[in-house]
Amino acid sequence: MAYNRRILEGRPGDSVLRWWREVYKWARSLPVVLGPNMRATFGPLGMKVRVASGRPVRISWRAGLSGREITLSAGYVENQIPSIAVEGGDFVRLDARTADGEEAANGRPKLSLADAEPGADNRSAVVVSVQLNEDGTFPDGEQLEEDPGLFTVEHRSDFSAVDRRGAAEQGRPFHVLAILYWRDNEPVRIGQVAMHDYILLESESETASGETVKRYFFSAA
Amino acid sequence: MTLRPFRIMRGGISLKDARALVKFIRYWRPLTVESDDALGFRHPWQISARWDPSQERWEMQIFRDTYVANREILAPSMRVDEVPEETLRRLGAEKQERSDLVRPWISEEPWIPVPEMRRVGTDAVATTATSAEPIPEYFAERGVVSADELVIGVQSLSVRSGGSPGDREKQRLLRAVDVILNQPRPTAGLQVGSDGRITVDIRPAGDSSPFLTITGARFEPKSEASSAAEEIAGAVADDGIDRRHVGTLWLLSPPGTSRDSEPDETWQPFGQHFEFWSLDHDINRDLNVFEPVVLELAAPLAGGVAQGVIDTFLDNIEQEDAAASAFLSSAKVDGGFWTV
Repeated sequence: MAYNRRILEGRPGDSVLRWWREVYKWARSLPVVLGPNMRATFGPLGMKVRVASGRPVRISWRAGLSGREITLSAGYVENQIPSIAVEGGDFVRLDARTADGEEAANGRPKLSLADAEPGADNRSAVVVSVQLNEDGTFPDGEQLEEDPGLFTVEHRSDFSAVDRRGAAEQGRPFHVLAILYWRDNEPVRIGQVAMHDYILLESESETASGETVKRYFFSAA
Repeated sequence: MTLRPFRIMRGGISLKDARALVKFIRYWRPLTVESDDALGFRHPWQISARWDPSQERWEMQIFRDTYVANREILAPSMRVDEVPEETLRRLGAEKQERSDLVRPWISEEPWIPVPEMRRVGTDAVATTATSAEPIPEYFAERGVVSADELVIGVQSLSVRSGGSPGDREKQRLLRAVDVILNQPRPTAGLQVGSDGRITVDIRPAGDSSPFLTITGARFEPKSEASSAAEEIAGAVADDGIDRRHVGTLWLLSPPGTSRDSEPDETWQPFGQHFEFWSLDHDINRDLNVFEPVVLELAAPLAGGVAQGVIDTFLDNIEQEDAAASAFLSSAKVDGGFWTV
């Protein structure tokens, strides 16, 4: 018989099966209880626990992918919150309000990827896009209340530097908020690009041969 | 008293039972406990490192949600058999030779082998006290001491130790590699014509994908030109890449590690990143409206030597020739990064 069962000491010839079972029982009796700000993930090699030791960080434009829908937390470009076109042709702002400031019936809008396709390298983008006024200024609150489609969050398959420039030349520059990765024509992951509350849109003119061209730059405020 | 696993060899416990137990414990007990800044959030450019026991080397990773102008950032070249499956799938490289080199995207989360590291403090050697790389305060407080100083006398060469010899048991070694972001961009090409004219045209970058280099050499930012001659020299030598020091991986040894040791699994990694957000990048010229800039100088090319024209150009700049100064500023191509 064992000298000491608590520390599993024994003599030559003792059966250890019962002890193995006790170890098994002991291991099962110690549940891993995750406290606040702890998260467990399971991989082929076992469990990893992550502890959030810092203060929670609120990220604007935080994008989440669920099937073929995307959710986004709110953020500002030139102090305005963009909208998403929802079913029925209505627009709902990212802060779950309609253009006139009323609470939206279905809460936060979701960006549908029902008809979306990947672009080059099996990537595509979630962008915020604005239709500028003819003089290149950003639409004000009144204009957006009248036509929320001027300032929207959209999905784009083409978002290279050339595409960005082409859109800006049409008076509708866009800024990438998140990047979608596709496999077998299905979106599988989303990567966050923009994270700041406030984004500014600045422009610069360059002239040559009598032609003036405006360049637009989005940047974190 | 010696204890042995007594009757296991004689069938006291079935292999199935043993495996079930090991699997259970392995799966349900935490393997690692790590700290995050905040739940579910990591900054772009965040650096992590791990020791790979199978290859006996340190490896590092940059947080995947990190972009420059919405483009994927290329990691340093890695062997096909070391890159993530995502990379193989994207490149269709499954059938390539194992030793072939490919460049994964940072977003594919490759574990990049850490190249040879530089020594900082304790067992580094500096030719003068000022040439030594400063030791970050954090590591100085943990036992990293000043580098040895090489004293060169008239007929002698000696080493002045940075720390007191009595503290050797407490001293720790420090190693570092810098992570550099490289962004190719167009360059301004200066050409001196046979008629004495200097022409500037823009040469586009070949592959403009941003890429990382990881180097043991200490990063030195490009210094601003202090004269027209330096500016021209810089334009001529411009390699068309904007560089930014985005982070450093430090490895700290246990106390008392003998000098000149190579980092192993007993060392402690510290990732430091200097950028916190994804970046955008552009140049100061709109290529769609840029036209070649030409400056005519009253200095015909003599015998095919361009230097005479350049010298005349510099003279004009020094004499505050408005045309020459305007030419210089319009001929300059600069790139810039900003936070998005």
